[in-house]
Amino acid sequence: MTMTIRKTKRSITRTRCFFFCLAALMLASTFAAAEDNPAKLAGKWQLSWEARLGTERGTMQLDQVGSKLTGTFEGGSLGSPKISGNIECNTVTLNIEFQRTHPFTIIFKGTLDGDKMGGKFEIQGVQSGYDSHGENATPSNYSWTAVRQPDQTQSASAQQKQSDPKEKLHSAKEVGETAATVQRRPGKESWPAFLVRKRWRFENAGSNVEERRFSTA
Amino acid sequence: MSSPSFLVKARQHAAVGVSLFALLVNLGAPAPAVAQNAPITPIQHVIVIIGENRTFDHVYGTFVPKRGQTVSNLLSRRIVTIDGAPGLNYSLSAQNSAVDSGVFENSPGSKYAYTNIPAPETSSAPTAASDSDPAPFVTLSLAELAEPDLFPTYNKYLLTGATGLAHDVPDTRIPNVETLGSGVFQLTSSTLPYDSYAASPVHRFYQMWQQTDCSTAYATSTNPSGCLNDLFPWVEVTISAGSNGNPPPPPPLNTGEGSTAMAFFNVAKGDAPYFRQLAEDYTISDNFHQSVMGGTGANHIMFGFADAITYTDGNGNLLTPPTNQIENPNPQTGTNNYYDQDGYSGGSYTDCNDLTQPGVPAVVNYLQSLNPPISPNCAPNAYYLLNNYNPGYVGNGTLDSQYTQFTIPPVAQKHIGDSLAAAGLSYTYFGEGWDLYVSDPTGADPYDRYCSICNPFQYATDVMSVPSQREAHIQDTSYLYEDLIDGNLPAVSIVKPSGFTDGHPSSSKLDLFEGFVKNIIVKLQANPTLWASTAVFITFDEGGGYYDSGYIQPLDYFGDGTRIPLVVVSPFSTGGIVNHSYGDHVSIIKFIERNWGLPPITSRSRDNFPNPVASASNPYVPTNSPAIDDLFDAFTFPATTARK
Repeated sequence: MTMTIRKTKRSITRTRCFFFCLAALMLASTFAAAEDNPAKLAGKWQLSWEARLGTERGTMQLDQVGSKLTGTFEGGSLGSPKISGNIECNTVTLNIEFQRTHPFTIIFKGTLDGDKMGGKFEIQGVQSGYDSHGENATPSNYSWTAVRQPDQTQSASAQQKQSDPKEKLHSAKEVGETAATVQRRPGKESWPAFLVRKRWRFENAGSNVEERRFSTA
Repeated sequence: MSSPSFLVKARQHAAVGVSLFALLVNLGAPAPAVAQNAPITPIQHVIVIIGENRTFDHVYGTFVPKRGQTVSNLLSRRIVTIDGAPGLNYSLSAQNSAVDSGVFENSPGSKYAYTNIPAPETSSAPTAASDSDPAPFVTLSLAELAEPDLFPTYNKYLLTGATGLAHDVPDTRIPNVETLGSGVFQLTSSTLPYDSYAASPVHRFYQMWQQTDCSTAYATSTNPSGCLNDLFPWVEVTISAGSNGNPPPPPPLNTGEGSTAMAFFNVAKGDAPYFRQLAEDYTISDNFHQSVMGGTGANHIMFGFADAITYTDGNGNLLTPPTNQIENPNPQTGTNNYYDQDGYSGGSYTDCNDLTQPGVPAVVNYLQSLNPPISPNCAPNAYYLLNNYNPGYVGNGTLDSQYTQFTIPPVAQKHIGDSLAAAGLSYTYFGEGWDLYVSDPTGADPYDRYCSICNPFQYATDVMSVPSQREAHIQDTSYLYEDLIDGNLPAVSIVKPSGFTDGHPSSSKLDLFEGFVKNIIVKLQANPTLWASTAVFITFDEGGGYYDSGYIQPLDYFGDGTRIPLVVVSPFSTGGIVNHSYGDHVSIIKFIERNWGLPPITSRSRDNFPNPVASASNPYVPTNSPAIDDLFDAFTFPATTARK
């Protein structure tokens, strides 16, 4: 009886140990995967921030390699400055270097939230922000926002990807189509639901919801 | 003439031609030969240089005129000694705290004299030099690139004068900063030299009405408007630049400026040396005023329109502005004078014809109580812009409302440019930094220091909506310098420095504005033909909220406000004369109109006021109020010239 109890306890202990190790492994792999697969910011974004005399707007075209971001900004007549930055988890930093008569850099820091990101900005080396001249309002909180935009280049890329059944499945999922009704375009063949679910599990290994959302083109 | 300059001039002449043609077509009149109105004096060119934010006493408080001349200032009234110390009549500048009564009052009660005014603070004056956060700059070559409009020997001042102190703390560079007494104090000392950045006092519409503390209960024969000028620090420390509709921050309230308003330079001891030289060589006025209570925008607008401007649909039809943009200077419950709705991001319009509107009864009742009563000159259902909002247009002629809600819609009111164009006369607003601003309408570029609210023509549809008009009448200062060399100067030039050099406290210094002015005067005098036919009026947009001891004449709901410096530089205004005739910004418009035979801008504009009549014993107070001088008496023209 005692032996049986001991075996049972040992068995329980082993089982606990197994699940504990499994949980630890899953957690570690989750973090590792998150680090290896940062959120996808590549694409076109409409950026706006509160400047000295009003709201400045422009379009960012971002490219991404891992967590590193590069790109260009097109806004009004401020030229086409280069962008550099990075994404760590959902924390974004973007540096836009304006090459005007007197070059200046605006640093945008913020967080990613779905198809939007936003936060605070500062002019590099300018602690007090825009000079008010004592007469105009200065920005109330130096805030910025960016919203993902449809991108013709990216759309073309997406169309190309859609020739790949896997890509098709992915993009269909993103627009809310149920797995069972996913259609291939342009061939319109149906994909079996289990393949869709498999794809879903594959894609979600070690990634969070936000990253999934941004994995579309 | 350089090619760009030639093109600009060609556009200028073409624009005048187009204006005249359009006018004649509209009138349905036959097209006579275009003829310019000829001046009645030798003055064929007027240059108006407008600096920022200094009162007469702040700059010329200890100025000693030449023998035979008199001046009314801190020194002559014995408020201070020539060393800047308190004088026998120091108490004339004594300041008070007050208590609001639950509604806005322009002369609040329960006054209590300060033993020591609240310590002046640093506000947002620059802590340290920085090339990325100028001025001051660290690198001279970079500074000279960013600011090319100074007389060369002044460039060094672009690198100096940072406070070394944090923002919004007592300015410990001022000796005995906590125990300055009850009135004015000399700003400069061995620990705060003239070439220093310092804080900027509040300078807004309803705030200045309170600071000047005008009531007929205080009226005397020598001060019939009853303005005591004794609440400057109290308004600084209770409301300062406004609430933007927000509740007050947690106590204790620190507006960051303390009693900055009570500071003055000692021109007798070396401060403002170029302005002293100009005053000794040419004519100054000691009775010239900012035309509107408050700040930059409204005063530049009055200079262009001789009137305030209204909120409309952009086509001249009156509208009611959004609620958060209507002024409400009534104190918030539980506060002492913390306005309900006022600020750069809210509260700048008032329907001053409606006595139920916040703030209006106090001012209107005061005006009506004067002898004789003064008309507020407020049209029914018109909301007038009292403080700084962006003009309706940006540099490329599109609407500014695309960038910010704090924008006054385009204005169809007539302005002095219309009068000049109708008479075949050229005019140009030379704004330093205009070219940079055109490519940066939101001011996203931190080096863009063009002042959009300073340009009266940038509010006007007839200038801004027509490219040829825009290009003819608004140019960067680089074109002014070309004009001074080649002699092809417009009949009227209005010149505005950038934020680096306009002399505005906190963001600029008075010595930088001196350098900007000297650069123009030297260039003008280097062209003898032009110099012989040009008058330069050097003045400021307003007193910046600094204390002044001079008389204030109420003209309408909008002003006048405190005295500001006026220096008249020309071959016909030499000798260090001090002119005492009552004037304000619109006096310069009156000079232009009289010189070229132009009618008043509209039937209600201030240029309809007569020239002042005053007694010999008190030349400062018009006995025919409301009245403002046309400044002809600041000149001595040849006998053959038509005289006043």
